Amino acid sequence: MTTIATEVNEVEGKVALVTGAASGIGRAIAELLHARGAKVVAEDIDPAVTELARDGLVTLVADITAEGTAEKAVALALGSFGRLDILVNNAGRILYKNLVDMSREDWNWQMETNVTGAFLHSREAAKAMMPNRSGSIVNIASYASYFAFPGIAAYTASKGALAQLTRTQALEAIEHGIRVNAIGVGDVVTNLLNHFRDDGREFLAEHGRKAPIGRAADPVEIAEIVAFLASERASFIVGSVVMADGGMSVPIG
Amino acid sequence: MSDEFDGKIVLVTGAGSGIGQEAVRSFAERGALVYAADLNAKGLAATADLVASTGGTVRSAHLDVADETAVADLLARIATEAGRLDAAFNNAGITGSTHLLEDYPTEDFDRVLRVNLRSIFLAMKYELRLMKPAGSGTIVNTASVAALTGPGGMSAYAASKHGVHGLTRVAAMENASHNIRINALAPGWTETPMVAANSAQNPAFAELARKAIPAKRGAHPKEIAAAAVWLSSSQASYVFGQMIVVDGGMTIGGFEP
Repeated sequence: MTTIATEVNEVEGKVALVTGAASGIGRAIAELLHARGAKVVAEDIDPAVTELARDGLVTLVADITAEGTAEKAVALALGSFGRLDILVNNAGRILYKNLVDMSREDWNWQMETNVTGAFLHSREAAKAMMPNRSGSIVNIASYASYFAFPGIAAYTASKGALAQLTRTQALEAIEHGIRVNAIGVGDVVTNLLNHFRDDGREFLAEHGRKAPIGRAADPVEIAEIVAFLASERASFIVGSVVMADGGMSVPIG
Repeated sequence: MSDEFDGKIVLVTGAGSGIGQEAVRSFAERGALVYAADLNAKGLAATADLVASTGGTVRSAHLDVADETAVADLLARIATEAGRLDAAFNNAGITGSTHLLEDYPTEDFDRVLRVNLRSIFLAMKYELRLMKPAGSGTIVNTASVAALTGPGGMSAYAASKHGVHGLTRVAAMENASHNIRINALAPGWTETPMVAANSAQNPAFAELARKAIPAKRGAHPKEIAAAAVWLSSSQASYVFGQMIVVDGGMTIGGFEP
């Protein structure tokens, strides 16, 4: 018998692993889940993630794509909190380069950061969740999972791959009671672009004004969707990509 | 901590059973004043009893949601009594009969389009007139996985639900600058009284249908209502003009390779 909760604090007592948690969307997710009563492992390649450490929140400084990182992260969740209920594959980067200027190294770097890291963490997390016959994996995809923009071919390809990874793992994992879903995020004011432009945050805020809703998202708005998808309220949502783009994709799709 | 729906004015159509009934219960439990609309007076009474037993305030509205005068009158009543409308869940619908397209009775086709599509057009037409001057509101329309697929024998149903998706997107775009957030919901196989009645007529088909769902079961109406309430809440503040699929994985793909 499935019990369906309707209240908002259902992540109380759950254990979550969040990648890319040092800043932006990942940090908002780690903080929201923790504030709602979850125990959290916050992982990032950026050592600043250690500043998040507090009671019920441990940190891991690691490269999601490196061999053994996913195993280490899951082991940390099990070792610190005894189980793993929620994985959020949030870590991601963006490469801004026209296709004709893109090297094989560029392409591989983008795929590694946005897809391979999620694959490895999803594989290890699912193995840890299977004995419990429950769990929820949420992948942070993009409206670029479906919609194309010039200059970011590797990014759109990687986010498209992440959406299909989500859908296929959803089919395999539901057999074990594990739900896998994604969020197709639009413009969110984060440091995503800061590695190639100084005004990255302002650019995202400005670009977000083109969305029908008229603004970019605050990271916490994405974190709320994670909290919903990870909860029992979403118990029949399997393999969905919940678009959260302020309507950016509505006029073009 | 007070709930964000505390004191909010909510309208739910198709409120006499299944998904709508559960949504009324959930909104009412969270403190909203809920207008519950349905053509089925017995169902409305059951919904009112349910809310009375769990706590909350519901006002029943017995009407045909495809009748323009009736819908206009209901929204006028809400305007008079409550002065505003914060959230609407336009959910009334029927599956209609099952026939190949070339055999589909035209009067049945018209009836399904009327109940499933015209009703949502009318509901939004009059809801928006109340929400726009207030400068805020949320609307959730019940579509279906049949808005994405082509279920054999169900031409009217699929056409009507594809239509709901289109109406939702247009309404979302038109009202973006008015702070009105409009989305659709695409439930898969849900164990509502409507589906149960159809399953009873063809239990073998129902069993096959459930097995074909990756989750290996149909949804409880509560699971769909939970998504509707969530979409209506500020927790979905950046979800705009979308159709959220709640189907146990039914439309992912899923055939053995």
